[in-house]
Formats: sequence, structure tokens, C-alpha cells
Amino acid sequence: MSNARVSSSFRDPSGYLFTRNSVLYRQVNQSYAKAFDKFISSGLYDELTGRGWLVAHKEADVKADNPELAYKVLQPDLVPFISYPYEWSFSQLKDAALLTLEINKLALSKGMILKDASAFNIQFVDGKPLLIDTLSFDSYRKGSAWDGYRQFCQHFLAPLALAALVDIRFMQLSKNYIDGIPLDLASSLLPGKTRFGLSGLNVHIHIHAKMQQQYADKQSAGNNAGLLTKEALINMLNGLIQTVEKLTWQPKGTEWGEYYSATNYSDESLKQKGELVGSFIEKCKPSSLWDLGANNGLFSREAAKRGIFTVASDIDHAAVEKNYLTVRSQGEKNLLPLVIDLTNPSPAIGWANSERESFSDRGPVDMLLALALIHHLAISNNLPLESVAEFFAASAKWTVVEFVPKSDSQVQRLLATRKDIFDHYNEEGFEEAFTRYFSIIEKKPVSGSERTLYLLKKK
Amino acid sequence: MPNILFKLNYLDPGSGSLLVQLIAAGLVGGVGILFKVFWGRIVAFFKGEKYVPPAPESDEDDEEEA
Repeated sequence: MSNARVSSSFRDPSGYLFTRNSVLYRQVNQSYAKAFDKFISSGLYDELTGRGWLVAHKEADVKADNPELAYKVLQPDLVPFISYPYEWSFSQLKDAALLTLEINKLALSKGMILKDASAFNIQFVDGKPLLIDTLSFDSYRKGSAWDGYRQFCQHFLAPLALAALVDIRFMQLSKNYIDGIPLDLASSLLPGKTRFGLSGLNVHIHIHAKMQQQYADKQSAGNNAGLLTKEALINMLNGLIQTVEKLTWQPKGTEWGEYYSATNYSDESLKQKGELVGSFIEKCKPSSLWDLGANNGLFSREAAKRGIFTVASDIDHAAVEKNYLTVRSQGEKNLLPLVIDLTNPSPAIGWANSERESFSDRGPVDMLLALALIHHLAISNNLPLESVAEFFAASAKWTVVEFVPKSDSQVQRLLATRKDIFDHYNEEGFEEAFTRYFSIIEKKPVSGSERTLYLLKKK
Repeated sequence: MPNILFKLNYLDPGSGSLLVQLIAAGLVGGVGILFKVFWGRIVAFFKGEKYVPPAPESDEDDEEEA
């Protein structure tokens, strides 16, 4: 039996995740037995899973990873793809924040409390946020404050406030700060007006940052020693909910957000392209797919609607935000929109570079879609076509690539302001580079354009 | 009874973060609570003693409120 502890699962002594023969388990330690029993007997677990707020599990009748410490072994339902807060759109992070606060309120009503508030504990399944850490609950102790409050402000409130009030690109900042944005940094970056008024940011970010500095080396009085009533704590959570709800982001002047209305594609060609992509998908029958450069997910849905789990990634926050809002409002399944810059995808971060996986380490998948993408990689980013082919081949067995020739107006736009140094950027050069790694299974022109769709199979 | 609940707190909640929650919980309540906190410190200062925070109301699980 090969056991492996999940590398990100080490902070909380209540238990940890491990895999055995490719099955994911969660060991609950004896030190957490009392809290775990209360979590179940109070009805909190049933209520949370009934509302779809917490990942469900079953008790597994298998040997524990570390029997000396173990109280129980659980087998949690699997999440199809682990994504990270720095890959989420604004509303994804906001929904995850609100879920965390609502879960905490529900826990308090059952005599328990969230003991942390890590954004990494939230994942998205079928367009909805879901808490995946079953061991995040402790017994509520009368008069105590919320131990996860600082983490909540760092993981959720600070990036949301910076994205909403300063620049959406601050969503990426948590890549640098694995335990959330330091509050003194957020405080110095936020506009001065947030120091005043009733937004809540004055207290939760600015005063909070000051207090942290002031009390940095002072011992806490045993979690406030009974000063905060439960009502006051719930008041504070309601205040945080209001603060988060007031933060909004409206994409404007976006690069690709309006892409489909700004292309040289007619509705008819878009429809034909969708049908072609759909026929390729049906031919290969993948069980998982990444749509790279997915924009608002128009073609990702060709896979998702066929029941195939699909990650729709794009560099553009506005496009991903729109995609997520559509998934959420339509209750669409199997589709996960993420903000990924393919020329600089998420790295592996954290301790020993193994806490949070890089984007490519979370593959490979069965199939890639790279539609209207190749010119951005090859021309805007000067990537040799062989490198693109090599990366695609490492990521999936099947790949659909749309080749966009130089004569296409979108490529002309990219070349308008620079010297054309791309002698090999043509159909011949494309096929030569890609056939090093792939066999061409199908090649179809996209009607009403000069573009070509290739269905490629890895050699 | 050993204080098992404290042992389970794996996050450092941060002293500053705990105090901010008192403020955030409500300005009126917050001022009252802050007064309560600092009154103890003020009294201790004039008495020349070391400030000892008040004991928690209950170390046990708060079953009644559940």
C-alpha cells in the first residue's frame, strides 16, 4: 500500500489528508475527537452538506495513515479540480468570502465556530463555492473571539478591497503572500477615503493593521477572556458580510471582454466553429478538458454541456468574471472559469514549493482547446511554435488548435506596431512544428475566415 | 481539566486582531469593552501590580447556548 500525505495538509494538528492507492482520505486525530463528535452530533455537518456548503464524506473502514494518532478515517467526495484564490475572478473570491462568513454564523448557531478562514479551504464545484476542510470547526467557547478573523481579512477582505477600489490586478497579489495580503500593505495601498466612513474597511483593515503592529509582541489575554458575547460576535460577522457585499467590481474598457462582438467572426461562423469543436470532442470522448484562452467560455460549453469537466481559463479578468457570473446564474455544471496567464501560469508555491501546485502539475487532461490563441503565444509573446506544441503535448492527449494566419485582421493588429520577425509563422511552419509531437487527425477550414481548425493526437 | 480547546488553536489569532474584533462588534459595546479592558490595566498601574486579565466565564464547551 502506498501512502502519501498530501503536501499542503500540515498546518492543523486535528488531522490531515493522505492518498492510498489513488484514493483520497482524511485522518481525524484523537486530539480532535471531541470537536469532531460535536460537529456531527450537533447536526452542523448535516446542515452544511444539506445546503451544499461543505464537502460530504463517508467514514472509511480502512487502516489509518498513523494509527497511533488516529480517531477516524474519512473518505471525502472528490473535487474535480483544485483551484487557488489567485486564479479566481472577483466574484468567485467574493462568493467564497461570503460563504466562509455564512458558514461561521451557522456554526455559531450550533455551538461551534470556524477555527480558520483560509481561502484555500474553498473550492468551486458546478459554479458554487464549497468548503473542503471538514476539520475547520471547533467548539465555541463562551466569550471568545474568532481565531480566524485575521486570516479572513488577509485572505479575503484585503484582496477584494484592493481589487474593487484600486486595481483588479491586485487579485494576483496573493500568489506572493500564501497566508493572504499583509494588512499593513493593504492599508497603505487602499485609498485614503477608506479610513473614514462606514464601509467597515477602516476597522477591518486600517485599525486592524495598526493594532497588529501595536500588539505584535504582546501576549494575548487568552482569546479575550470572555469579553465578547455571542451576539456581539454575530454582529461583527454581519458587519463583515455587509463590508464584503459593498465591494463590487465592474469591468470596463476591457481588452477581450467584448471579444465576440469585436471579432471578424459572423454569428454563422461562430456557430459552425462551435459545431466543429463539438464534433471533435465527440470523436475523442475526453473525460476532462482545458480550454486555454477561453474568453467567456463560449466554446468551453461545447464540452461542459456534454458532461465533460472543463476548466475555462483566460488571462482577462473581465472575461472570466463574465463567464463565472453566467455559470452561477444559469446553474451550469462541469465548468470552472479561472484567470490564468498562459505565458506565466500559476507556479508551485509554499513550503518546499509543494503546498500549492503549479497549473501544469494539475494536469494532464484528456483534451485541450486552444482556439484563437496561437497568434497571441507565437507573435505577442515570441514563443517558438515548437515550444507551444511541446507544452500542449505535455498537457493533453488530444488538442484542438485554431491556426490564425498572418493575413487575419487580428494578427495584423498584433503586427501593426512591431517588426514582423516571424518568418515561420504560416500553415506550413505550424504543421512542421506540431507534427513533431502530434499526428494531424483532422484539418478543417473555419467558414467565413482564413483560419483552420486542427484536431491533433499526441504521438 | 486541561485546557484542550486552547491546544487545538493552531492559528495564532494575534492579540491585535482579537482586540479589533471588540471594536468591530459594535462601537458602543466596543467602547464599553475597551473601557473594561483598560480600566483593569489603569487600576493595576496605580496599584503598581502586574495586570492579570479576567478569567474566562467558562472553559467548558458552551453547551447551553448551542
